[in-house]
Amino acid sequence: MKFPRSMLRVALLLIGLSQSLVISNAQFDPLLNPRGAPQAKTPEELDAYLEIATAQESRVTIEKVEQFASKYPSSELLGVAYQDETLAYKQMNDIEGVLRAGKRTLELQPNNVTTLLTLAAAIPNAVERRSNAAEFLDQAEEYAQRALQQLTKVIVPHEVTLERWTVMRGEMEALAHEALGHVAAKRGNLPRAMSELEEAAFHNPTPQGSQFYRLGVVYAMLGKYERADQALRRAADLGPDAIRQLALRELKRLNAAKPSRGQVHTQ
Amino acid sequence: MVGASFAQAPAGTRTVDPVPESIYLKGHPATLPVSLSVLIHQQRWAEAAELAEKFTLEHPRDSTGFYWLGVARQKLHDPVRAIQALRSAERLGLGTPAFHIVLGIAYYNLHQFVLFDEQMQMTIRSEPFRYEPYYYLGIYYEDVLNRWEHALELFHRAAELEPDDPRSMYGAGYCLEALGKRDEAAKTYEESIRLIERNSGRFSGPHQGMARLLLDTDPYKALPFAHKALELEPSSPSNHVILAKAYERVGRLTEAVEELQLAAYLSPTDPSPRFALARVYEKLGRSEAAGSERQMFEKLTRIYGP
Repeated sequence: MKFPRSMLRVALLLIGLSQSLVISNAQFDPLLNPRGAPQAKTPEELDAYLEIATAQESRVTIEKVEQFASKYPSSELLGVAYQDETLAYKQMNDIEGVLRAGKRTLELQPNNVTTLLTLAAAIPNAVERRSNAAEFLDQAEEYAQRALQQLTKVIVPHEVTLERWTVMRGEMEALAHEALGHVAAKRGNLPRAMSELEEAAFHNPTPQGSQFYRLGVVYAMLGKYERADQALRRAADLGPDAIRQLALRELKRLNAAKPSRGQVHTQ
Repeated sequence: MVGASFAQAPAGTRTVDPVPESIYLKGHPATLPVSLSVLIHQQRWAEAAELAEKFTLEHPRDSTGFYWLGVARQKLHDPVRAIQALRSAERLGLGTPAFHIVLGIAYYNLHQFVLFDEQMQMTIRSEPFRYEPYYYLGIYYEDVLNRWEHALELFHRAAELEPDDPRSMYGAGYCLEALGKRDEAAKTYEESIRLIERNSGRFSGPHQGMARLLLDTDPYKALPFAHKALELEPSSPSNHVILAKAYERVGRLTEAVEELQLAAYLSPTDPSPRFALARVYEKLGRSEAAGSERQMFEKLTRIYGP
């Protein structure tokens, strides 16, 4: 016996789709089985969570999550609230905030795919000035691998068509491989970085400029200039604008470094 | 004794209007625009939501506007914003038993069962002779908790309070079927069918239930029930599946395939029609088609669960 299906809307909201990130779609499990859905104990507690879930600005989301955590420290909704906070920090490019909120999310929901992917992507960007960089990179790798494992186990709501899920899963797997490639590059393991980034860039059903850009850079570092040229040009085509600028700059550098190979076109 | 194992019962055979008209707020406050009432009457919910939202901005102290905004959003399958509007109405003083039912249903749709239960109990305390809270609690105990015995008690209580409601009666039959009391289930489905016929209702549950019960013991008797269920609710995939199973049992395999293909089309992520299709294709000697359906069944089961 069913009420009209609203589970997907609910699930997507409670997983933080309001942050409009592709990876937000990953976390179906808590609400797929109604018996497993986190329960508010009072109407006021739910009101407070819904304010987080429907907040339009990242700054507001973060403020409201902090208030919620302080007022309802044992709420079953705290895990999803911290996930919303993680994504809000990501929107604001606040890596330290992502790491802090992401860690809190995983303490309550260790297999939250959205957060695992967000952290795996964020950590390699945050290791530069850290004394424990190697340990951090290990953690990012573990998160990405765990996300890949979880993606094979996710039970998807019926509201998501098979075609849509195939695309979503491909996009999320690409994110995990991109993170693994980034980690490998930071460790100086360029062949591994190349294979992971190839997996990300070429198997993503929605090709991403950032993945081709990273791949192009790694190709160039490995002396694979033709491939680097192709990947960087693809990155410039795909954008967005920030990636386009980076790719064009890298192409120029590539041309300057290898004049004897003939000009590599940047347009 | 009617046959057929309960395991054959397709999940989600019943649908429930998220806010039945019987629990709408009665009366029309003078402040509420007539055009909003017209839109509600015509069930033009998107426009009603827009107008109600505008009204709440202009009259932020009027609980009625928030109430109708909540109802419209619920009809539009937006339980989150429905709850937000209904809570605003509650804070402004609205608190009739019918209101608590509407708010409770919104909580249910968001899988907030603690709060759902609280709203239903509040209604029972203030108006113990209303059938709706028992009916919705019955759905909860049956569908979410699978506590058939208690769900049966709740559906029986709802049916006592509203003897003309075929859905409460059907709910009781469904629980009896789940409890293996097939003869009693059949009698209850028959009673529910009589209520539907008396009121010219468009609810297919009990016809489908009867067809399910008769599939193994007397598939020829199951067929007219399955046909009637489909006639009443043609867009229900489970009605196509039951009809296909009846066709299969009486050897009308080509028609079974057609019904199962329709079920798969209407519910493309449900693995069960694929499994049945594979079996019927095997019987028809179409091994390649059977293999392809079996593969699809396994894929869908892996992704969407059994």
